[in-house]
Amino acid sequence: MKPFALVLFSLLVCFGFAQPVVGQEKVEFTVSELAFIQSHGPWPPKMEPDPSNRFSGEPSASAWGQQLFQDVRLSQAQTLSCASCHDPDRYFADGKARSTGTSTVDRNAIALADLRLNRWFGWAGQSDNLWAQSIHPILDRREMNATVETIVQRVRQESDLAANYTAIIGKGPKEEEPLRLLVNIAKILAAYQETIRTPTSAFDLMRTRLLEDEMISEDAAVLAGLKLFVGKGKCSLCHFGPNFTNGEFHDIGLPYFIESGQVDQGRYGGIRDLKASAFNRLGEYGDEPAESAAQAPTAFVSLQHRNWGEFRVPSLRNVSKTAPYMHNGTLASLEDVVRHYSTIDIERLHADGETILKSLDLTKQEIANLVAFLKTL
Amino acid sequence: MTLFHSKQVLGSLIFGIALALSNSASAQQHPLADVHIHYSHDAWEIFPPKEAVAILRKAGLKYAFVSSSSDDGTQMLYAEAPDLIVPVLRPYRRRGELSTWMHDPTSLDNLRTRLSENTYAGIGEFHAYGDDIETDVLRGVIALADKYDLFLHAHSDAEAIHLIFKQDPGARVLWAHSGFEDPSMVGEILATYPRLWSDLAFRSDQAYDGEVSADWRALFEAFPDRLMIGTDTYTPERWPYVTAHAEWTREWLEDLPTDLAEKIAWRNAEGLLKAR
Amino acid sequence: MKYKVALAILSLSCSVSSNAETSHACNNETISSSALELKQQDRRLVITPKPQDEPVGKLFSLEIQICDDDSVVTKVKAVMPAHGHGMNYRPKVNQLAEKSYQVEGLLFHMPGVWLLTIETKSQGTRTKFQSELLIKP
Repeated sequence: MKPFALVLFSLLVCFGFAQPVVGQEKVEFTVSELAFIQSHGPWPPKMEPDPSNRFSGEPSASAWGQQLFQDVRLSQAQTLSCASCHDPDRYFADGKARSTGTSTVDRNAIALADLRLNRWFGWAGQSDNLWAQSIHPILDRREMNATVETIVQRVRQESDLAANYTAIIGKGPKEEEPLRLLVNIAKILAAYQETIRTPTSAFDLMRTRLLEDEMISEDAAVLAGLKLFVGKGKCSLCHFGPNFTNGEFHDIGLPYFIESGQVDQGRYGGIRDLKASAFNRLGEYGDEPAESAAQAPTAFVSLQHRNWGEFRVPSLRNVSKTAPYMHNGTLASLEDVVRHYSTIDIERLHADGETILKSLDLTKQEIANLVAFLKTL
Repeated sequence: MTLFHSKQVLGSLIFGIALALSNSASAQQHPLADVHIHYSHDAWEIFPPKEAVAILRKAGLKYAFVSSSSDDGTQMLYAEAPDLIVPVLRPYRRRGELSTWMHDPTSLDNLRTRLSENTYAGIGEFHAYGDDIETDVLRGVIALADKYDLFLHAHSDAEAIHLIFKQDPGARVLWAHSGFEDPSMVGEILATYPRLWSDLAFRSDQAYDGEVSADWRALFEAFPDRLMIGTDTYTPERWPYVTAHAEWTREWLEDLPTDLAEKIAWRNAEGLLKAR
Repeated sequence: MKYKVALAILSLSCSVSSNAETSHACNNETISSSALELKQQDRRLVITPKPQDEPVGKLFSLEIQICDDDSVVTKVKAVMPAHGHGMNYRPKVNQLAEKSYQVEGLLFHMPGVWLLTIETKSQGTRTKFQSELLIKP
């Protein structure tokens, strides 16, 4: 398919209408809306191994990674593991507005799934790879609060950890330079986390039926919500593609003070941290060839003033199961999220910012429809 | 508080004193004039005047050009730090007026009242595009700027800038965000109007990782006395950004010759004030 | 299958509009069918995206072939005029050979109309080439 097309005529020429018959009501989709619906699949897309992690896609590494993910020995006080905030029984989130490690952190524990589709990791995108991101909570004083020395000592001294390290890494932990040992543990954790996948959803099945013109008795509210999502709501522009995210960062008019006077810098701080990190893909700890690393997004990402207070567009798969919402968990329900977009305060956005963000002024029924659709993801 | 009931003559005196005395920024921290600060009601609720001034001083600002919705915010800051704050009169009485004020004659009445009560260096930052400039309200604003010898801080497109100078060739105009135009276009318009200055607020294209872009460097060299920097604190969360913005700005100013960097950093802002 | 047909029409309609402006030749070289020719007065250049499929949300490169003169490429940028923003990435321009450039690090993070700008310079003369690109979902 030709990727670029010069526009010489009104986009309206490209629009048409389709009329799937659904339940009691008839919902019509324009050709443009159908194109967006098509872009939200198929699911799952092909997920290639992480070139920066030589253990990516290795079953033995991901199996040990699964154990380490729940191993409290990776925290200083041996009371917390990755799973404490990314609970497998809670879709790898924790249900809290802001998570609690050794103390309360600034942000919501983002649900872990389909991570090979990420270009950036964390709400601020402070990492360009999953293993670097996995180091953050281990060392963060408010999360697992460990030190490099603690991790090295435990992996060297605990017999099961040392044995697994030797077998999978191919080198004894005592022969390993401390920082590389930490990186290797993080790579093992990443090898596991990237195996966490969301299943085919009700939406995926409906999308196939809709595109094949084989509609059955679809829920009218869901279809109406879908139409809002890909049409008037313009949700698909940012929540784009099969994973319902364009992988980037936006200011959606939410306050981003952590507490009075103290602000969460969001993407601005994320880019600063990313560029300063020894563990980004341009650094010496990745496993990919130099020519591949040179094409990492970190080589091109540009720090801009609007990055201040921007946060990552999250995937919407499983979204009904991962409340509360937003980077700081301030919106308790999907209804609250939709209401936010319905009444967004554009005065909080720069006059020359993202001009497509406008309050949607949705009716009560439209809000319910959009929520009904989100629940199919 | 008698100062705030004074008129233009005393206003000039105050700015003269400010120019002479306000070298308070640390010698280690190159001073900056941030010409694009807003201090609106939601900001002053979170950062009361003392805290707000502390943020500006921590950022190493020599001058902060402040305009607010409402102007009460500017007055509170000016009272707190007259050596630092350069008051600019914003026509908005509250948030939400930026696209309607030019059709509301009462906004002009408000400006007249404020101008009769307080001291200002300019009127703005206001939003006006194209033939908005030909509305009665904007005509009135331009006439008031002439009467009180104030600069106009215009968030405008190029057409609006042309129309301002068409109405008053002697106006002093500070072009907010340099109109978000390409440097070549900014250069053309600066060349046309000697009494136009231009701020770089909320634009990031002049530098990348501390390196000034070639086209912007050419513009700075062609118009060394006309460009200046600004943060644009359009939400309360942007107040802490004043410091981060100052750091970012100092990084790319380092990439310019010292004399030119100092002009963009603060001397051009002073030049705008002195060009009365 | 009527929706698939409709989508095909969408694609075809937009492609026809593109072909109307696209030349496949620059200095008699053969240019791939995905190329796009940009003109500014008597100057021309040809751009070719790499990879050529589904550019939304993925880093891609552009190859630029200067036609007709000895201009050098000085700047490449893209913005979404209807959205008021540009890219989150700063492309790097590398010269591959005389009149031949590769631009790395472009990423269109939304579908829609992007305005691509390529600036060139030749003996003090600056030329700005612009084209609206419809990036389909």
